[in-house]
Amino acid sequence: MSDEVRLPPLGEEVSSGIVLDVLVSPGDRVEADQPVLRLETDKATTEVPASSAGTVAEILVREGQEIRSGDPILRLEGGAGAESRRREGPGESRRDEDRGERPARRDEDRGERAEPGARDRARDDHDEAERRRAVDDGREQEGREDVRRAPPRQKPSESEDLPAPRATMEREAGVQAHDRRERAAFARERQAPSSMPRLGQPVAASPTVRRLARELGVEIGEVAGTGGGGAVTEEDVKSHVRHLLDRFRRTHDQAQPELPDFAAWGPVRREPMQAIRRATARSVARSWQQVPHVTQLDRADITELEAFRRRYADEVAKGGGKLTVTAILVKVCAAALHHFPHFNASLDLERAELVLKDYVHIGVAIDTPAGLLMPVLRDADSKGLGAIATELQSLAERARGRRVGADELKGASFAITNLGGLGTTAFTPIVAWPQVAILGVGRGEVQPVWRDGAFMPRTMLPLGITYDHRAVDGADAARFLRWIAETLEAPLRLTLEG
Amino acid sequence: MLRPELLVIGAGPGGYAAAFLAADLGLDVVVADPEAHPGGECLHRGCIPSKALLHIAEIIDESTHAAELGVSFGAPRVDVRRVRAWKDQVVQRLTGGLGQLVERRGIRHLRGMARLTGPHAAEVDVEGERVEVRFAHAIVATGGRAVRLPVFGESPRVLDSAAALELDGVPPRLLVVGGGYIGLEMATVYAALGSRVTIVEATAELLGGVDRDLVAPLARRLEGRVEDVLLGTTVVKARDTGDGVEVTFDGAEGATFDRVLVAVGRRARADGVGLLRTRAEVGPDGFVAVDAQRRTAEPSIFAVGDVTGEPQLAHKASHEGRVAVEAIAGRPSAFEPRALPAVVYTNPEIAWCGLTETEARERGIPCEVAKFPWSASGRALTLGRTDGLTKLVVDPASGRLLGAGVTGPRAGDLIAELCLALEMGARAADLEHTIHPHPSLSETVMEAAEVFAGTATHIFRRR
Repeated sequence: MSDEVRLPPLGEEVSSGIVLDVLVSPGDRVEADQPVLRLETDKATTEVPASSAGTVAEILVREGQEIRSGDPILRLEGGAGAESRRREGPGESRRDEDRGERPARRDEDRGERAEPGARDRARDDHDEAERRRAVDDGREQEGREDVRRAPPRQKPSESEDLPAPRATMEREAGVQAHDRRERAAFARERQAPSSMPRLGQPVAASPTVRRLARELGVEIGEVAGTGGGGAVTEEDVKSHVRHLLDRFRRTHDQAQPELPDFAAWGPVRREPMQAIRRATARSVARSWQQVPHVTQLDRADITELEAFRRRYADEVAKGGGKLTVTAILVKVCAAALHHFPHFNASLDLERAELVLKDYVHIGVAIDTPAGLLMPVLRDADSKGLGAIATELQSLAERARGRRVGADELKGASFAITNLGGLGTTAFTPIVAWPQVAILGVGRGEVQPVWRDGAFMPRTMLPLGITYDHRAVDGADAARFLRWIAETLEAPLRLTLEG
Repeated sequence: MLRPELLVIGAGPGGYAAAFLAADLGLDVVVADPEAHPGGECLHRGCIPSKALLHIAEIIDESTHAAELGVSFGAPRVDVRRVRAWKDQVVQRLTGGLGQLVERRGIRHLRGMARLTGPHAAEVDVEGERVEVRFAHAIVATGGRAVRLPVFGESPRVLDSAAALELDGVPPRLLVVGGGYIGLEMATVYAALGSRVTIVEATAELLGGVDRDLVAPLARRLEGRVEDVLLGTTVVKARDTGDGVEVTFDGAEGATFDRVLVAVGRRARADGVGLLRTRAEVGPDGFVAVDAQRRTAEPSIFAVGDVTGEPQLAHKASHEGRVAVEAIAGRPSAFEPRALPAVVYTNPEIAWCGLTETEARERGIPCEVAKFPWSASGRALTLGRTDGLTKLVVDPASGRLLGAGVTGPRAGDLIAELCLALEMGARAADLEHTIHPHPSLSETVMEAAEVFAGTATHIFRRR
């Protein structure tokens, strides 16, 4: 008697992750809820618990493998439930093969990682698993719709990690399925002679054609029929799929021009993009494509602030925090956002509305060995400087140790990135869409400042605000940035707040 | 302990169709059912024995009718014992044949009721011995049971349809409670065998929900064959007097009957199956909730047939059983019929599929109705039966068939063509341009389509 432990749902927008470590070995006894796997999702690391107790009979995943919710992780023996022996039968035999081959493949991976054959096979296996999952997902979603009257299939989230081309195409098809306008346009494009797709109504198509559509994962209501009286024929379903493929290829070709053969100019090495790198790549590309960016620069005289910072550093350190310029900027920005609510907002272009947030959650860029992370300091407007410094310190440490939770990376309404510690003076960061602005901070330097007829040595902090010009204008940004600079110069102003 | 890949609970038309397909696909199957052979309610105590008896009724009716055509057989003498034996033989032959198919397919049949003990486990009580079954998937096909009316209490003179089909005798006076298809079929049988039958129905119409023009020929014919049809009437009191049942009606004069048949509907048999030990959900109406693949909220457990809801029809259950097995085998199946036929095997028969005219009007779906009365059919005339009707419900915009209904002898067979037409997305013109054999009742389908086009050969309509 054995039991499969499957990957539970990971959260709203996360459907997959990469196996970092397997924490148990075959033969180990595990208790229910005992962590058995460490999983790297978009930016966070999660521990996956066993759903029931038992002895580990077989491990069904390997390190570095991407797995999705519902995928089997382990086989436990001596638990409740049964996984029965299967006779070779259509639709079932493939799963048998998988089970049989997996241990062998794992050995190959351990032994000779670079052996190309093994890697290819592993990739095939991955693709196959991907395809099957897509089918399974479809089935489960259908199920949920009927039994629980859940809302229609969820739009695949932007943060979903689907590297394989086939999966990307599926996602594209899925997104398209939910964009009514696009669908209508698509139907016009097809120039169906007699009928437009009729959604939500029974489609005229024979049972055989309907079955073909199900097999290909085509929503038959989206297919324009060319048969008698607009009936959907087998050929219509196929040409619908061909059209989707074409379109996918076109967009894919545009997005990914072919790389030259670098090896022609010298030896090259390749390393896989880690999950954080990939997530960053995706999110900055999306922001870059969508957001019309403008950056404006300013400077703040922080001579007195520096004195204040030195004076209270020890006191804050007793509370476990570090009184950094960034911590002070979090406090100042939180106050500034109260005065300039349009910087604490998001654009809803679909409904032509500005979403103004009554909370102030500030994302702070942290440079970690694995890459850029932006943990979120929540309700910064209601916290004292000491508390902010302490919390920021803890967030930064946990981010560097990859111990920050997925929830702690979500929900920021504004962001700060401070490269000053590394010596940058000015730079143009990318707005973390759907936020509308980000504050870039450079290195403070002592500079001669003309004041009262003489040059004075003052510590000047370079500041930059990069914003989404669709949401705010240059004059607003100038006022916003000036407010921050002036507050840094006269921090007592903060005591007027509240 | 048994460890099959599939456990099928209940071997009615849903269960055995599922088990057979699963075995054909190479799955290891166990079926749990208390009967010696598969068949369930339909084959043992429902569709099949009732159709055997309805055949007898038809012979009696035809022989009487023959006198009008110049051939007299004299009054029929009914030997109830031999009729019963013949009916039983039909059932035995059919279920016995299924039993052999179970063996040949290597399906393990446990003779007992199964009770789920978890998402992958069940216990089957086989003659007092408990057999444990651990399965990957299970299909619950436990069917339904007749609703009882408390007003009649416990009396050997009050029967359900199963008891009425036992045919213990021909009661001189029979009360049929319920004007649905079971009540009407049994009324037809017993009236032909010689009972004086009264039908009582609480609502204002027989076969509620069915288009009135399809029911009208049956209602007319029943008038001469049953004692009384009491519509909008309920039973308020009933008392077993020792040699009859004294019944008081609300809305009609009371009377005494030798037997009472209660046929007021059927409920799901979802209790006692152990569904509470799983995540499967049972709705407030008592039916098990399933998705398009007939999967319950417990992913390893499916449910098909009467236990999942109306309409409670054997052919629906069989189709669902096959859909569930295909889903289990990883195929992209779904229960999404365009045409789910229903047949009432009265005389005349009434059959329909797809959208009814009544439903179209209620839901405000634009439709055009084309009717071809059998009085214009040569074949109907040669059978001496001109009381039939064939009708099509058509989408006026596309000319596509939305639904169809037929009343008349063999309507249950005629409806099959219309089911195919619906499933194929046919238009009325497709039926119109398909050559139908002459003379046949199937021509009425073609001619109804011609009526839609406004050019029926055998009907003249002044323009």
